[in-house]
Amino acid sequence: MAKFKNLLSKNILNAIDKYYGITELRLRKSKPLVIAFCNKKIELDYIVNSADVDFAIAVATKNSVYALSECIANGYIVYDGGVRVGVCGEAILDRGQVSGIKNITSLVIRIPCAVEGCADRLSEIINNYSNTLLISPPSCGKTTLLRDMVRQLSNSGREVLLIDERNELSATVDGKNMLEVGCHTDVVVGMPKLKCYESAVRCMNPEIIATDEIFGGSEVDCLLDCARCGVNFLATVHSDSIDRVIDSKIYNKLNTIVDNYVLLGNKPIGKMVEVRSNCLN
Amino acid sequence: MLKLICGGVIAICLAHVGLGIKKYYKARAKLYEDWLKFVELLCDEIAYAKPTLDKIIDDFLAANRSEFTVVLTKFRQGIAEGKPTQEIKFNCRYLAQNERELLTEFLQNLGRFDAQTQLNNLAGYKAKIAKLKTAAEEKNNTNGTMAFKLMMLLGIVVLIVLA
Repeated sequence: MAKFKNLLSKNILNAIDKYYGITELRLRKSKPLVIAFCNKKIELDYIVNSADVDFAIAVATKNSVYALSECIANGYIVYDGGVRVGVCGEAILDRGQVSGIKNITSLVIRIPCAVEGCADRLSEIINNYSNTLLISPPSCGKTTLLRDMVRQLSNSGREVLLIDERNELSATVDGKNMLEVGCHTDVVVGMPKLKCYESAVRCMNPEIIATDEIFGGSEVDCLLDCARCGVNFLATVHSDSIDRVIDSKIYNKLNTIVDNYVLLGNKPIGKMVEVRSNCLN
Repeated sequence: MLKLICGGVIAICLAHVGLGIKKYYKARAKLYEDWLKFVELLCDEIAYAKPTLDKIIDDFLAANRSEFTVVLTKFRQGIAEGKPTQEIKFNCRYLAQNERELLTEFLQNLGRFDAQTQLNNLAGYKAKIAKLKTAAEEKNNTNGTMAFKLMMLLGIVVLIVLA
């Protein structure tokens, strides 16, 4: 059985029984259940209740919410098999810092899908690798493409270090990667990304550092540092156009070091809308 | 002679009943002792290492054995089956209805909150359980021991009367 189904109460399992290929479920208390597929989403008649949400949280945290307070404070819980559960509720503040979330009302369960070969279209970039940014709005297949690029780069003999903060790229369980990320890939799971860059460069000597969803100036500085150290990177970022990234106050610093920009769209999901390369013909 | 044998049998039966009552009170006292010990372990672990609930329970079960661990074992099995704590059912014949409700509520609240809230929640239970433990120990020392002695005495009286 797919791992994400463990998170669902009997009522929800019954409601989604006839659907296949689900990529995302949205559970909002007292609201209709929403399920998404690669190309569409459907609002079902089933109304989600507190018990459904509590059930999912209990299973996702292995009945140990206190053990995942930090993760929950960041807005998500990582479940087995790379399933990521986004959480929304009331923030618990401790001296101005968010220390957790209580009274959780909404969950977004995202099911990872590994599509081996989806990066074949970027073989030219992979074979002549230099810093690459994968760009798209949410739910357009960035993570899936990133994972397959990592797999292909790694299998071509490059030493790749994968920073998998939310364990959705490698779906590591008990030290074993449940999703294929290549034979030359070292995976760091669960470590805050900003802490990881420095130790990765200094201790693991990677050729390429790969990471999902860069966000904010601090991370851009980390990537600049990596490039200065001679380490290539492969990263994803949220945006709906390459120009918006290039013109952005925060991300324009990357222009000097990024050689390839790949923009993905959602019609259909994963469609390469634009590939802009500074180093390829 | 027959009377003497009957007297002996009755005396043994009464001693057995006395022993049963004593055991009951002793088991209750031990149950509360272990329950309190478990709460203290939870407080320590959640405040520092924050291991998952099943790990804490396994550690506790490895070192303790009582009527409380029987309940806890059942609860642990429920967790292993992937059930949320609210859905795990159990029973304990050594507890009164209101005590059973307290134990149920205690177990159902485990692991449902962030660390600080969980610790506050446990502190509340700790105070309640400590009170119940003291009461159970007092009853064990008075009622349990007295019941055993009384039954023994009654057995001897019956034996003497019949003889």
